[in-house]
This record gives sequence, structure tokens and C-alpha cells, in this order.
Amino acid sequence: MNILITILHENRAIAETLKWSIEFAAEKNTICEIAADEETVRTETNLLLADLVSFNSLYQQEHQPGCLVLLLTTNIIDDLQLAEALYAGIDAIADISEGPGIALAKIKNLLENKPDETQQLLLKVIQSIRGKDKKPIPYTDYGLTRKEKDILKLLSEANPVKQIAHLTNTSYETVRTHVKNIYKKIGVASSSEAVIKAIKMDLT
Amino acid sequence: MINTGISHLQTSDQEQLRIADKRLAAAKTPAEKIKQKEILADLLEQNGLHDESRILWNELVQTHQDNLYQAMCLRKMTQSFLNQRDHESAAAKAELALKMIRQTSITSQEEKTEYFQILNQSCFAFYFCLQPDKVEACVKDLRKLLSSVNDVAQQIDFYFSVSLYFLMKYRWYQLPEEAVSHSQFYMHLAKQSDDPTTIAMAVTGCGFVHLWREEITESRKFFTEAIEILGEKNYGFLMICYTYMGIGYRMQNNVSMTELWSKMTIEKAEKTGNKVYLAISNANMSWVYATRKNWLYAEDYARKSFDFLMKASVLYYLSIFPLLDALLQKNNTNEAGKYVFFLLHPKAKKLPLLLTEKIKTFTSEWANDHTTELNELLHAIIDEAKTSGYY
Repeated sequence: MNILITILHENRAIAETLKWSIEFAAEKNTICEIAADEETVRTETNLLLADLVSFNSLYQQEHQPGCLVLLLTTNIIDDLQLAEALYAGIDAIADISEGPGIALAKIKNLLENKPDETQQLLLKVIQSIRGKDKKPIPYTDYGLTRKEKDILKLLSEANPVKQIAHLTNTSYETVRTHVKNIYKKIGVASSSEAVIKAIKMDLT
Repeated sequence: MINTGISHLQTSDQEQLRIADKRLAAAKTPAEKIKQKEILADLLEQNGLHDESRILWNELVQTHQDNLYQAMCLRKMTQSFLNQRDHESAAAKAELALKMIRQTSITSQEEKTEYFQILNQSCFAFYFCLQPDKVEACVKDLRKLLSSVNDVAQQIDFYFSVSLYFLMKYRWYQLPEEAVSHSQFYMHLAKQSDDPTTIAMAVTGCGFVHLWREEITESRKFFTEAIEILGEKNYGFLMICYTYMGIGYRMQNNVSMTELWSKMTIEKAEKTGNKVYLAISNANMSWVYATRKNWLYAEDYARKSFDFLMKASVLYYLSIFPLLDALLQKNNTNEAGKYVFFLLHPKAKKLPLLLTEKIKTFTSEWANDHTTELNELLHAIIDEAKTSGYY
């Protein structure tokens, strides 16, 4: 079976050299292509490599493929940006400022289903948020349904949307719809804010 | 079946193939048919009819349930892909052969010998597909089996596999003393055989070890010896020696000798259609033109060779440095960034530490879109490359 890797990066030169890097030493069944924009990311993509700007714009639109995602960074991103990206469905993060090495190792791990430290990082972020917000606030359920509460609870346990879909036996798109409704009801604009709210609501 | 597609062969070879084909058609018992099919498949392979040979081995694999026999057929098919230089298909077949032989108990001498041969062949296929983990795993198993193998030819194959392992492990850079003593022993063993190609291969191996240890003069002695052994008989092998003679002179900044050996390689590579050595020699020519400050030619040769080498060889840095210099002359640091970034590929040939540090500094600035110091940083890379002999 062929593996399709798609690169979505605002810097064309970086996208090109990453493509060379993947093709050099890639196995015969690996196809790598550069997507011109968010709309040209094919649904057949198995692994998407994207920078934060491109990924965010992809996520905000309705084109996000239900595939593995490797976020390409060049500088340190703050905890909230990271949490945001992770909840949006990123499976791993690679710093490319020292060449293609880290990204290639992460690609290998992702394609071989090996665990990535990204999820551990996500748990750390959540723990740090929990540490800062020890005071419980009076419980309000914001009119959330049982299903929505379950999803919010899973979000607060560091599960990305894809994982929640799997755990609740629901489609990825349905979970995203639930997440949007949750945001509306609890009055937040991002997943990280939603997690903070969930921690405060003490849904455990 | 073999009446078509053999007209280019010598009459005696055509005759041999026809006889083998007739014998297969005349075979009566299943055992006889298998034997004749094996003979014909081997003959087809020897005459360069790889696809036809693999068809027969594939038929044989499917008609047998015996794991050992199936593994042997898969090995023959792997060899056929290797002979055809289709390394990816060879690696895929090698995986199957390994899987099959590992389903046997590997206790009998026959099984051990087959496993040994498959491992050697797998090393070769995995090496060219740049799969160091797999090469290492094969060498580990080969070491365990070495004591049970008495055949000198197979022992030579083992040492060849270990050479590949060393090259890959150290990424063709600063090979340890252990690699030197190993290559000397490999050469000593190979010289006991009567086959000039086997001996030349081992002598060339010694040349490689010294070249990648930056002991250029020493390496040249071995490449010269290999060329003398081969005479004008084996173009494929001669090209390897010529190419690395050129690289050695380039590392010593000897323009006229690099040009001489590169042109000799180009002549042979064009005759035989060998694109890898043609591209490497074109990369050397781009260096020749860059050192003469003929930037137009330097860029042209570098681009042409890079387009091929970026997919085919761990030595693509040979095209990159002259290209970087040509791009620097045009202040095109943004494009240069792509090539500098690619120099940090973890599977390509390793470069000296100081040079790598300068490459990393440039890459970090380039990837972060900090353009102000790129020109200066690129200059520093080129200067360091020249100092270290990797320009």
C-alpha cells in the first residue's frame, strides 16, 4: 500500500527541501507532495506535515484531513499555542531549525505507530494548568448534555479530537461539532480555554 | 520461450539457452523439470535476461512448500534485482527471503549456508536502499554464523558486508582503525581467490576506508592497484576507481588531476549509461569550474549533477558546495538555504564537525527567515568547506 505524505508550509523553499529529504532514502511505496494551499491537501493523505500558520488556517476551515499530523516548528512555541495545536489533532512536533533530521525521525515513528513524546508534553501542559488553578469555582454545567460533558472531560484528559472520536465511538466530524457546541455553551474560543474551564468545572 | 529477446547474445550463448530450453521441454518427471528450470533460470540471469529469469524462479517458488527451497528461490530473485540495479525491489525480495529462511529451524548445515547467503545479499540491498538498521541486524546475524561457514567465497562476501556496515555506521566519515584492519583482512582473504573482480573489489574497499579517513595518498595506492588488476576488462568497476581517484584529488585541491580523472570517468559512464558516476563526475567538474571562477559552467554542472544525486547518492554534497559558491556570487542566499538544509540529512555522508556547526547556524537563521546575516554565514560555510577539503 502506498503512503502519501503531504507538505503544507508557508515557506515554499522549506517545503521543497523537506520533500527532497523525505524522498531521499524513502521506501518505494512513499509518495511525497507539496500542497499549494489548504484546499489542495488530498483526503488520501496519510501524513500531513504543516507549519503552525498553515495548520491553523487548515483547521479553521473545514478541510482538515483525518490523518496523522506532524507540526513543523522553527522556534519555541508557548504552552497555550502548543496545547491548542495538540487538541486540534497534531500527533507530533518537529523542530526543523537544525535540518531535516528530527522531522525524518518523527515521520518514521508516526508511520510505524511508535509513541511520540508529544502526548507526554500535552499532559505536562495540562498538569501545569491544573497546578495554577487549584481553586475550584462553583459548579455550573452551562447546559451541557451528557455527551458534551463526556467529550469535555476527555479533552481535559489530554485526548486529541481524533482520540476522542475513537474512544466515544463517534465520527471525527461529529466530535468536532460537539466541541464547537461546547465552546459556544461555555463561552470559550479555543480548546485550551475549554480545557481550563473543564478543569475548573471539575468534571472528574 | 527464449527464442525472442536473445538475438543480441553471442551465438554460443544463444545455443546454450536453446539447449536448456529444449531440455526443460523434454523433461518428464517433476524433479527433472525443476532441475532443468533452475538451470535455465540461472543461464538467463547470466545472460542479462533478468525478467525472464525471475519469472522462472517465481514459478518454482510457487510450486514448492519447502521453506528452505522457497528461501533459495527468493534469494535468486533478489540477486536478479541486484544485478539489474533495482535495489528497492531487491530489498523487498530480500525481506521475503529472510522471513522465509527464518521459518526453518536454521540448524542443518544447508539451512545455515542458505541463511548466510541471504544475509550477505540482504546487506547489499539494504545498503543501497540506505537502511542502516537493517544492515546492522544482518551483520549481527552473519557474525554468529561465520564459524559454521567454510567456503572462502562466502567468507569474502561476509567481509564485504561488514565493510558496508562500517561505511554506513560512520556515514562515510572518519572510519575507525577497526575498519582499516578489517579491510586489510578482507583484501588478504580475497587475494586467495583467483577472481580479479573479487580481488579488485576488496582492494577498492581498502581505498574507500582510507579515502573516508582523509588518508588520500594511501587511498590512491589502492585505487591504482585495483585499476591495474582490472586492466580494461570491467568498465563498471573501473568507473568506481576512476571516480574516487577524482574525489581524492579534489579533496587535495588538485584541479588538473581532478579534471583528468573526472573526464575519464565521464567517457566511460557515457558509454555504459551509468548515471550515478556520470553525475558524481559532473559534480567534480562543477568544482573544477568553480575553482577557476567560471561560475556559469560551475552552476550548470552542479545543478545537473545535483538533480540526479539528490535521489541516488549519499555524496550529493559534491554538487552542493560549488553550487553554493555560484549562488553566493549572485547573492541568492534564499535558494542556497535549500541546499544547505539538505546537507544536514541524517542519512547522507557526514561532514566535519566545524563545517556542520556552520551549516546548522545558517540553517537556523534561514528556516526562521532571518535574512540579514545569511550572506556572511554562507561565506563562512564555503570558507570552512575549503579549509576542510570538502568544498
